[in-house]
Amino acid sequence: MKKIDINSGLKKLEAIADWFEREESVDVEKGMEKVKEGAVLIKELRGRLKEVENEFKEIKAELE
Amino acid sequence: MNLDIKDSELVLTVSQFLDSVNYVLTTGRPFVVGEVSEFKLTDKWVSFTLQDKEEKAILKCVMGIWDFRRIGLEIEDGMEVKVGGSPRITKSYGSFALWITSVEPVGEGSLKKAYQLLLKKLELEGLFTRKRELPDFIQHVGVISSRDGVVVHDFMNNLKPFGIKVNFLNARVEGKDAVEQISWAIKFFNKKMPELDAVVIIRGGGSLESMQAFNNEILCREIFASKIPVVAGIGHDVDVPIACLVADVSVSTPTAAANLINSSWDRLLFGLPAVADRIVGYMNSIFVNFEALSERIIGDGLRSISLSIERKADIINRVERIIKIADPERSLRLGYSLTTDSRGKIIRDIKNIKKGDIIKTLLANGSIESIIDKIK
Repeated sequence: MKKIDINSGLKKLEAIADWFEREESVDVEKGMEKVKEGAVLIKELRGRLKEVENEFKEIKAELE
Repeated sequence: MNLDIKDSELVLTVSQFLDSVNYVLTTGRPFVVGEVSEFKLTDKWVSFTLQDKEEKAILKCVMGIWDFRRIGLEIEDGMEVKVGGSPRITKSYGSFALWITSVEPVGEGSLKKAYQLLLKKLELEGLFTRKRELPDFIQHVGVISSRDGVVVHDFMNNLKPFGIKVNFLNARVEGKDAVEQISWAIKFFNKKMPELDAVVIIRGGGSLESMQAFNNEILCREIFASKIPVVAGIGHDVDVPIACLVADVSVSTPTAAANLINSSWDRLLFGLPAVADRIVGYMNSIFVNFEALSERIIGDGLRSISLSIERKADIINRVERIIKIADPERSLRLGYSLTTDSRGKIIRDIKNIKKGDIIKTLLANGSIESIIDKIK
């Protein structure tokens, strides 16, 4: 499975947040889609960020 | 020829008589010492008169020009010389002369005179001005000297262990054969080993007389003709042997010649530590720079990455809160509802509806359709 790119994932996530803040009339179905999409992105991004953090900690330990 | 002669008499023609005399004369090869006068040099001959100092006695001497050139000696009137050759009467002139094959100065005065004459001659020809530099890092030399002397050992013992290859040719460095043997050795090295870095001619010190080979024109010209640079390591007192002046580099002892060869490596010996220092300095600077770079990576870089991760996590958390709050289902689950008109448009303003309109109310688990009875 291809790993998510953190930067592009974050951009997508922020676009979803913007969408909710911008919308005046809530389209429930579309709103639901955005929520689901956001939830998937959040999960993937958190996982990927954790991986990067662990990798970073290992490198840091080696350097120190 | 009819000759009226008695049986007991031996009567010869002039030619026969002179042949007989010459036969007797040429059985010996005397050496004669005397002072030169009436010295003449022509295209074919060299002639002079040799006379005693004490007694009035003269001897005509003749020598072929090529023989004279081969001897490599400058002669002028007043010089005392020792000549060797065959006495002979020239039949066509009836003249007696010593046909010489060797001539050498005798006595310090004559030796010095010969030295000065050759010195002046070769200086005018420019044989002392051409000086070729020895190459750096000499690796291969041809040495010419007598194997019987200690000078070769002095030379070899003083060569430093740079792996210098030495080819040795034995040659007399004194006496009548010295010029020929040294000249031959120079020729040999030039012809057979042109790759040599230098030809080194060495011998110890000695009197002016014993140094005659090195004050000889033939040898001097052979040194000048050498395509390989020539180093002369010849001991001497006052008068520098002329061969040393012709050589590309001249030092006064065989040991000095070895040191000269050694010095071709100086640039490596003395230059290498300096280069090594520069390399070490350069490497140190690399390490220092690396330390600084490491510090930047570990310090600034790692902090920056750590901060970036935190920021990204913050963004995720912030968006998550927004999505949670904005989630329509969550609002409905909390008891809120959405009311739309018959076309499904969300009713936000009371002015957009009237009594009797059918409206739809969306709840968490279903919807309700209603008719408006009263508007307040």
